[in-house]
Amino acid sequence: MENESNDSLRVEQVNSYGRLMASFSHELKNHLGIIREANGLSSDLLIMHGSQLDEQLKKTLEKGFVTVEERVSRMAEAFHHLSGFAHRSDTRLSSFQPEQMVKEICQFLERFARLAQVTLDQRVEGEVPAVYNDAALLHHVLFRLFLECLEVQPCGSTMCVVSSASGPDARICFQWQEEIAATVVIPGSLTAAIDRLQATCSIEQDDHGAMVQLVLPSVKQ
Amino acid sequence: MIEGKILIIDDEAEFASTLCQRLKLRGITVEDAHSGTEGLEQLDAFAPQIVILDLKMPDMSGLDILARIKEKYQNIEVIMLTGHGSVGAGIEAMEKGAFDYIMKPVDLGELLEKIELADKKAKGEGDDGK
Repeated sequence: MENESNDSLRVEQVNSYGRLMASFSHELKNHLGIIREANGLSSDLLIMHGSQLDEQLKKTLEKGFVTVEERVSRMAEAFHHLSGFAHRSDTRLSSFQPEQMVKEICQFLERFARLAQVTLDQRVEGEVPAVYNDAALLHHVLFRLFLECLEVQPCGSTMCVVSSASGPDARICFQWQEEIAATVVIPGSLTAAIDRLQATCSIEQDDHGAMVQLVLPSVKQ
Repeated sequence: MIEGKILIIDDEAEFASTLCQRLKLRGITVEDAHSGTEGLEQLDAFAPQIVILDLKMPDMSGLDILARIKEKYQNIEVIMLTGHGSVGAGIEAMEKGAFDYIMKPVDLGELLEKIELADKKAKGEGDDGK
């Protein structure tokens, strides 16, 4: 009884965090929008009226406007993913493209990889089937798998996250060129979560390297 | 060449007025309104062909304003501004009659393309403008 109450309290907490994060992300996007427009307007005015300015000064200003625009674009993409993540717990089951989620995870966790001095590579091979599943739970599983795999990576190595099809199913692989897969341990709580997704997780190793792969049933199943 | 008049309705006054200035620099006739109520008043006074409309505003939701526009002025093309992570809100707006939607923060090049298509549709050129 007490456990059930704790569980529902935890669910409420997670929902609150999601709503807060979505609202915060929305607010920040508004600020980004204003920064982008103000920067764009300054850039427009420089193009239209900058002919009388010193060439060097003009170039410095142009470079500044380009830098702001590039950073705004990167932040916009990050907030786009953050909003998607925050809204994910709104619906328990939904159909979605798993490679989009992988892209989002890699964006969030690129910093973790950088701090561990591991180069992160992410690619999509062929057409990945859509899945109908618990997106919030899959996000959690991918997050944990990513960190478990990152943990065993030596400094200076490259970890590649590949989304592809495995027959009719979707497959997400964390792979690398070092023979270190045997040291990856999938914790029991994570195995239970993988079971709830009706997915399978395995550690494979061959002459070319090693990988942890997660296979998810597609909507066609 | 964009000939239609544009009304921007967004409660973020700084965003709306800066975007307004950028469009004016490109020779477009444009006005901005900073609330849903003000926007609805401007529809009569300014008579735009295209409305760029924020989805979330404190006094009225963008979807409510969209419904009011489509009820009274069927020929006005509406481009929704959405800050949401999913495209769901934008698609819902299109199902309710919006011409298109664009995510915040807005990429001006992308917005101009959509405005151009909306302008063509408002002038009766092309099938659905896309």
